[in-house]
Amino acid sequence: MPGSMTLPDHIHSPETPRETVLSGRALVKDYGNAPALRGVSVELGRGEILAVTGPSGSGKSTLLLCMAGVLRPDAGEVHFQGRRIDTDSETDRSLLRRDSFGVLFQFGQLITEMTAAENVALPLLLSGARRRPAMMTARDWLRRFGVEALADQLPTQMSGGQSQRVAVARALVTEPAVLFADEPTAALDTVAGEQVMTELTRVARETGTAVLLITHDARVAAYGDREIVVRDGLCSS
Amino acid sequence: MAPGTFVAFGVFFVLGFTLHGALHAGLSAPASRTFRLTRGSCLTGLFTQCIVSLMSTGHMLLGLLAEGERHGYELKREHDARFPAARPLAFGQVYATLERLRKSGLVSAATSVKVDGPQRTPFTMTPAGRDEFERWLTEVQPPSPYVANPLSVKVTLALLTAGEPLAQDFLRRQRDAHLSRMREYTRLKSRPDSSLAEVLAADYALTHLDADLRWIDAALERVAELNKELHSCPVR
Repeated sequence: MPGSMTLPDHIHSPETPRETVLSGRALVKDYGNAPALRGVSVELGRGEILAVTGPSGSGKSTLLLCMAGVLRPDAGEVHFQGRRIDTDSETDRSLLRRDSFGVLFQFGQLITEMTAAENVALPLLLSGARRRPAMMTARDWLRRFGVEALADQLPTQMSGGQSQRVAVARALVTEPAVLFADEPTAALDTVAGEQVMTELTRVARETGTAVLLITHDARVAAYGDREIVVRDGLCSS
Repeated sequence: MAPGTFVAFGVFFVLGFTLHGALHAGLSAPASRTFRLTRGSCLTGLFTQCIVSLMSTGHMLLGLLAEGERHGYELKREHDARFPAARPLAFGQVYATLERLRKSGLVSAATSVKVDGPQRTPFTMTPAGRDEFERWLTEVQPPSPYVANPLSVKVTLALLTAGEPLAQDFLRRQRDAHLSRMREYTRLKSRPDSSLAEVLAADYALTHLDADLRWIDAALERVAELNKELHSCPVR
């Protein structure tokens, strides 16, 4: 009977405090012509899906790059699991990204010469896994995203949505502590985008991966637990 | 837009809001009420009500009777199963509507029979009822000539009476409330056991909330400009 069935509590329950896994404090970044970030602070809880929204050019992607250790902020600090990382060397930050972070962009950026399974296995191989178990794990992850049938296909043989699901599997296969997703559905149609977001958030919640989700689309932001808005290099939540 | 035109629009919005009060009642205060979405009631939510309201209960019952004879209890149960997004339909409303349809000659009532205990009256669609249903079914609903926007009225009045900070604060809090509701619909439609009807109904609500949210973002960008316009040339 309509109105009589109640959603499970987790659909509505207020946010419970989460242990902070990644934080940026008073981040400033200036590319020379205009400041991209003017003192943004953000905290990401363990397993939290945080949507970062704002107009084009507001500083969202710069924030992601600083938080992921790709860019070094001009001022401010980035801490991962309680340890300051923005002062680490480039090599150490690269190792951190390989071992603890996953990255997903608008276009999956799969390697076109490799099959879907090989693409997904790649982060495991780079971390020292042997080929055979890495390929088996990759197939398992393709199955989690409903694209196991594409395991032996090249990216050029896939639709945009299929390709992005493979890219999500690749970004999550190492079960990173944090996934950085920059407009992950912007190149997809509505239905394909929703499939990607549904599966991305489902698996991230299953594995406890925190997600920093950059998007200009409120319907994508609605997959998150919380939103911050970046405007003109400043942040409001 | 000239200030006079803007105020005229404001009046138009107020009138529109009054006329459509029933349709937009939930939207007017989403932040101030605890509104828990339930699998059925969520889809009775804000926006789907608009469509259901435009569709008369009589036409809906005629449509259900097109498949054959039904008594009121069966119609009520079928309504609930077929239209999870619809506003809850009371038994009393079903029986009252059937009676009106009978008086109009659109349905006929057979002799009451005892079914599982109580006496129940089976109803059948008459040829006139089928004609009316087919006319309604093929009729295009005219798109609304204007869109009532209570948010706009509030922003205008906030600027006129309290100033820009209050208008901005209202818009930001309204944005939070809209996005919060969108999260609830998104989680509902992402559930593996959600039916396609529920997913589509949630999509309908999400699309409308998203449209509002885009307007809120645009208004936030331009609220300072609007404030200047409103105060540069007061309307007498």
